[in-house]
Amino acid sequence: MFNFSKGAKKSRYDFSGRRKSLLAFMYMAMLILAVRATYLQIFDKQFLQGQARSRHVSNVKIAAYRGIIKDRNGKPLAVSAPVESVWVNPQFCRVKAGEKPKRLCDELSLEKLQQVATILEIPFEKVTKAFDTTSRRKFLYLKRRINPDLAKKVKALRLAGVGFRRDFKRFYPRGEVTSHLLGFTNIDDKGQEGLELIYDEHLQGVAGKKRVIRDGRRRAIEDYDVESIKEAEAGKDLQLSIDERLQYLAYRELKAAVLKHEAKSGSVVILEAETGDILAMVNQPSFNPNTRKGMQISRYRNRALTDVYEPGSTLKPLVVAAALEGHYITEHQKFNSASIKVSGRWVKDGHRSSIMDVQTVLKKSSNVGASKIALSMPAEYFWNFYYSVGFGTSPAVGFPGEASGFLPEYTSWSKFEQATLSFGYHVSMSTLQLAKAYTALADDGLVHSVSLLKREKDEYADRVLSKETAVTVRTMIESVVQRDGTAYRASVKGYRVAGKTGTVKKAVAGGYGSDYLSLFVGMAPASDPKLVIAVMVDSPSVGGFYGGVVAAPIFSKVMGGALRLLKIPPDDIKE
Amino acid sequence: MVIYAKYNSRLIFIEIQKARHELGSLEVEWERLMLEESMLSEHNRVEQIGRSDMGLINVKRKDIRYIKL
Repeated sequence: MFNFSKGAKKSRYDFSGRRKSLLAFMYMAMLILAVRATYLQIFDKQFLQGQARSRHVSNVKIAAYRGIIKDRNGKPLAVSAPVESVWVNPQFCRVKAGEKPKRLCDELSLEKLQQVATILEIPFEKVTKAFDTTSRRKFLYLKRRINPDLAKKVKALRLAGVGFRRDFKRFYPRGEVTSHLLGFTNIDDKGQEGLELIYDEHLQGVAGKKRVIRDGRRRAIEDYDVESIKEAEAGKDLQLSIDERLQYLAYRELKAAVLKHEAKSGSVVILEAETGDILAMVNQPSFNPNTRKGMQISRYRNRALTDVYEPGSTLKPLVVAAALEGHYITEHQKFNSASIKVSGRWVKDGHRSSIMDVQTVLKKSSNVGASKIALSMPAEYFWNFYYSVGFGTSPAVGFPGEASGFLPEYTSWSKFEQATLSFGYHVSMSTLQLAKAYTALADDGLVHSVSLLKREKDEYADRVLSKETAVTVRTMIESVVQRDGTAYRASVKGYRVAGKTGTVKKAVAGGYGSDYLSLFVGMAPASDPKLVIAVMVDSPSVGGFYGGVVAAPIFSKVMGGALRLLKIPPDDIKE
Repeated sequence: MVIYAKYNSRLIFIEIQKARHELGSLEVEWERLMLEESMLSEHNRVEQIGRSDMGLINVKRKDIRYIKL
């Protein structure tokens, strides 16, 4: 029946050859797999791990916090507030009209995009365009610097391919009052103007880096940072010499006066007499640093620092001080104010001539008297004095565009030029330089360096006058603000005020135009001055143009308010 | 031992992360409050409220008495 012969069996059921070859094949396959696995695990490990990481782990820049700018009392003048920027990766999820979106993009309905547009207050077209781009861009901002609350709403929509970045936006709580001083930053948090630019390095921090895990939709998983690679380094704070209250006060009064007199521009500078610290520096016209759209560049200028002009009669007290200090005149010397001819040209006074003493020369602002005093000094000595109080040299605050003014070399002076220099022509300076020069009279003969940063003490103070001379001149110019002086309107009730007016014909190309500058520089309390204030109003066109009419009332209001705010006791109370 | 230490270090790391986030949000809050404070204390606003709502006036010279201590 059955043939169990071995041979037949072998021939029929023996698959050993097949089995062997199969086994060999499987061993081979296993070996290949093992080799491949070893290769991947050992030799290619780095590359592969990197690839994996790059798909779900990525490095994110952490914006560094920019330092606060504070006033001398620690009030914030410029603060960085956290905001969010919303960005889109259009490659991730293209939604073409009429086409079905990729699976991951299911939630990207037009309805949602409409919501995004409403939340961010941007046109709907812009949103759809951002998602529907055919360009190769992989990153574009939908909107930058939005309120974190708005960002939260967008986050809640859980859109694919949309990311958020923590940024900082600069806010200036005092707005236009401090805008010239502080300047502003651009959208990348870099200083563009003013102190933001000068101290950019100091204020700006160092951006950090951290590693985050992303989900399948490339969104960073929040609240779970894998590792911080580098901590963001916050910028340092900056404390200014500015007193924010005085800054506001000066700004308010200057703005009101510029409007009232329909002037072109104006500046006020307040210096602390004993340190040279700049307590306030304001200009008109100004701008709002928080919304700068469509602003003319000229409004950005810090005129008190950048614009120079001939300071006119405001220099007369300095001429008298120089002459007294060098003993070229005496305190009680008399001068005839009748017009005189100096190197062929006339120097005249605006009022009737008379014989006057030095104090009256200042009180009545006599050009002839001042010229005679100036001509009594050797040119070199006179020049040296002007130079030592800071004329023709930059006040070195470090501001961009800071002017140093112009003081001609004495070797080139004619007698006439020397005379005109005494009443403030042929020499130009900024309002800050003018105020700085007056610190010599205010601080008993020490001319101070000026600073925008708070200091305890001025290490660069320079003695240019003896105490006696400074006090004498100060007493003389107290008469200017008396009832019969040129600037009664500069007086402050309860305080002794010393100061000098200036009304200057504005220089234009090739001569003098019909516009005037109205100036007043003064100090109070005169018995021991604490503050020096310089006021400049350019081209007042309504309601007078004299320094005693336009600039003096500003001085009076600012000085009065400032003395009260700083709690400086009155020195002129009748018992 | 090793496992325990690793476990511990993870717990601590989580704590650090939590504290960091709290610090971050507190900082945000502080900045916001600082801004709000300075917005509210804006001189113009204070002046207006003082003058119109509360009827404050500048004291006249003759009404001031100085006392020497």
